[in-house]
Amino acid sequence: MRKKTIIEICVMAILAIIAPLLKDFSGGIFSLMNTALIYGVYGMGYDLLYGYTSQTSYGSSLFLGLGAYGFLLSVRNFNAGFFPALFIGLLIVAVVAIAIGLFAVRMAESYFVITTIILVWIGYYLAMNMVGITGGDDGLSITVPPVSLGLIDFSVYDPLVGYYVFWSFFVITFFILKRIVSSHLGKVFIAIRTNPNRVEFLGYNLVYGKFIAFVLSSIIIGLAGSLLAVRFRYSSASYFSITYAALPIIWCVLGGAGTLWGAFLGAVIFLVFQYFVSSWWVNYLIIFGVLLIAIMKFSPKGILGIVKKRIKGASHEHFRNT
Amino acid sequence: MNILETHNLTKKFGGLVAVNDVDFVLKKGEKRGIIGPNGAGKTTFFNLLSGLLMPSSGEVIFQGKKITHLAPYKRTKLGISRTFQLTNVFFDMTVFENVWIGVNCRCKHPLNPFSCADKDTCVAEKTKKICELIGLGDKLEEVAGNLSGGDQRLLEVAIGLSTEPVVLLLDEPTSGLSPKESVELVKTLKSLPKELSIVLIEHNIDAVFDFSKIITVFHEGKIIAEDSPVKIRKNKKVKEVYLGE
Amino acid sequence: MLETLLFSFFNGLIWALIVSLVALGLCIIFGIMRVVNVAHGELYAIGAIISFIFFKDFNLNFWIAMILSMAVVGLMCAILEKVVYRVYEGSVHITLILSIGLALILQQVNLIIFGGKVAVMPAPLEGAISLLGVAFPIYRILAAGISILFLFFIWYFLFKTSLGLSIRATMQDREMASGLGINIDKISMLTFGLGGVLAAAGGVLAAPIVSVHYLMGADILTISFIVVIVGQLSLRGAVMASFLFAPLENVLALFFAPIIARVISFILMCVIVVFRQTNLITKIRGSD
Repeated sequence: MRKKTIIEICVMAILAIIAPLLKDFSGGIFSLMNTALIYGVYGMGYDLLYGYTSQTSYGSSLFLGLGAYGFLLSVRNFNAGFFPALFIGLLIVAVVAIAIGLFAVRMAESYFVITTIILVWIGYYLAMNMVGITGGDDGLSITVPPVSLGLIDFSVYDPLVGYYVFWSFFVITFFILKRIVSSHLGKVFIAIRTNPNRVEFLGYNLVYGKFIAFVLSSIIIGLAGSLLAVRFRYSSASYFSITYAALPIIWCVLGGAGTLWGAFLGAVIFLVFQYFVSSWWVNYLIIFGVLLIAIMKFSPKGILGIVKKRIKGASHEHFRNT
Repeated sequence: MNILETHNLTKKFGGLVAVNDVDFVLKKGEKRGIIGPNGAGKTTFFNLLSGLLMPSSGEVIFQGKKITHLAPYKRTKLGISRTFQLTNVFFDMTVFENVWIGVNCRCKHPLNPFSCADKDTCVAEKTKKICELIGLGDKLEEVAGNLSGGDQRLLEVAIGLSTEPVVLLLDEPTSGLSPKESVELVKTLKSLPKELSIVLIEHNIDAVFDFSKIITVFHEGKIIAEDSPVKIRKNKKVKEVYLGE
Repeated sequence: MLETLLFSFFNGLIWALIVSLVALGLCIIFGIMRVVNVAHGELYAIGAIISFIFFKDFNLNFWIAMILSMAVVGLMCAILEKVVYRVYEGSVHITLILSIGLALILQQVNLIIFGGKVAVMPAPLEGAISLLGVAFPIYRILAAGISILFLFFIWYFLFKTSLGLSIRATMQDREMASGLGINIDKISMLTFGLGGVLAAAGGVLAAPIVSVHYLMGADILTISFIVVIVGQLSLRGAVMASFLFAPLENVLALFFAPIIARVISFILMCVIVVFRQTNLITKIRGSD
């Protein structure tokens, strides 16, 4: 496990070092990496729910949008500073996640999925409808306040600074999630994923465990939403759409669910593909639909699943090494 | 002292009465065996005791308190533990990890998100001890799905022990074990602490008669006899119904 | 005022019938294959789109276009069952990802063949008649009649034929049915195809009422899912719930924005579910 941590730190360091190089070499790729870091947070947050407790939610974009608009409207309407706005965004997400979670995680898997789908469509149409508040499909813009750390202010309008802001959140989120996943709570999550029925007979309140995962996951997704608002100085109702809800599912399945890194890997692959393909083929999402089906059929554990098989020669994942 | 009792416990599935007005008393430290033909209601009875099912009527009482409608996880916390007839382990996890989960629920903060679980020596020690007791001490890193059927049954029992139970309900633990393994398992069960009350459902007559002080015989949802193994062997009704003589 | 109310109510009844068709498809697919078919809205849309193409570009009669569309979608679904779902049926978890993939693909396919436009599908019958003093488009009454006919066929097929019996047996207990010699593979193929046929039928019937658009499946999917949950994934429940929610929403839409009516439906669904859960606490606990 130590070795793994070293590799992870190296990857984080590389992601930090390449920034100025990329910026000068290719503006497009640099921009892509900015988004990749945010999508990484989104995907990892979703992986906590999907990969670690096996709760397939098709409604994560609800929290993405809430996080985005929570931040945006705090800045726009109340002139909040960077961190206060972030806090308000996350608070809104937490409250909604708790309200929905109390009701939804009790449900059997099929009902749960269906409920999240209904929620995402309702969220989307509400956002589209309340044009006064959300700006509908056109959206609203803001001037992002500087990131104040003590006496120093960082402006996200400096491309490099902006990158490092997103990088910081990515790194912090990753290590927090890694800690949670290897903690006592994390092992219980994995037990829930492996055999949810048995867990009840081992002294654990299954619903409570799932609920915690749901709320934590939603808050991290909300963070990603707020970061999107920071990145693009803008939010639109499209953040609430079903397409945005499908994205983390694609990333997790593609990269490998239950690994945290898989979600980031999936996001990067997605963005690279989108970068090169979307300009000449509008319907590129079809490929990802096909990929989802193909991966489930041939390698359900995604790319990292294949890699792990090769490296360890084992066909099962030990949670000790997660 | 009565550790576990039922009063008029009944479970109906539509028109079928699976458990019919059962009064059952288990004393602390008792070693009880339950036998009966297939469909007699034995597993359903366990399901009612452990909380997997709620009864149609009647009460389940543990240490003097009614637990009839208590959720399974709460019963486990109180000290009731059960194993399953069909192996129901965590197939994708190692033997160590399987037992760790149950042991963890007894530690101070089982849902601690800040700790590093692998560094918890207290839980690890207890886990290793239980695995060694059951005879899986040399297979800690084996993935449960790769174990032999017999070893998986042993793992079931180990998981049953992991939550530090006061009452252990074992549902056909020797099914799938060779005669030699069955004898080993009964020896292990006998070596368990005297205060631990154990109820054993079994079709392996030798094992259950060897282990139990009292045998309870189920038939069509009712208890038709309850006595020492010697007397049960001679019991006419039991012979008719079950032993087929 | 009363006229508008009555009109909305009648509309609600029509809509309830169409939702019933779509929701029945969802229930049957879930019952047999344990698949939560999130692509169902796309099947509804593609049904409408294909019939539109047959109607506009091939100048076929509306009803022939409808039948052809239902056949195409049904066949497509039967093939999809065999190629995509076959091995994974029974596992909600895995088939969900497959359905999401399918939904993504179909949505883009709809966009490709139809574009982003909103097209009005002319009704095969113009004019209105007077129902309780309210002028009501004849087509909608016809659509209602046809929906009722379809529902009757489904009922007859499922409850009065031996193949239907096999299907219901498989819905109850898949393993047992297989053990009794029922060809589960064939049943699954037939079921998914039937689900597709029903969704497409709903789409075609709805097309002259709501217009054709590549995202038209979103609305029906949401209401169908609400209805399926309230009906607890049972056939009868889904139909009954349709007749509760559809007219309710249509009437509410007179006073609030349609989305608010949908939110109210959702809240009602939550209330019903919670009420049932609390009542069921002392009954059998189990999972899916």
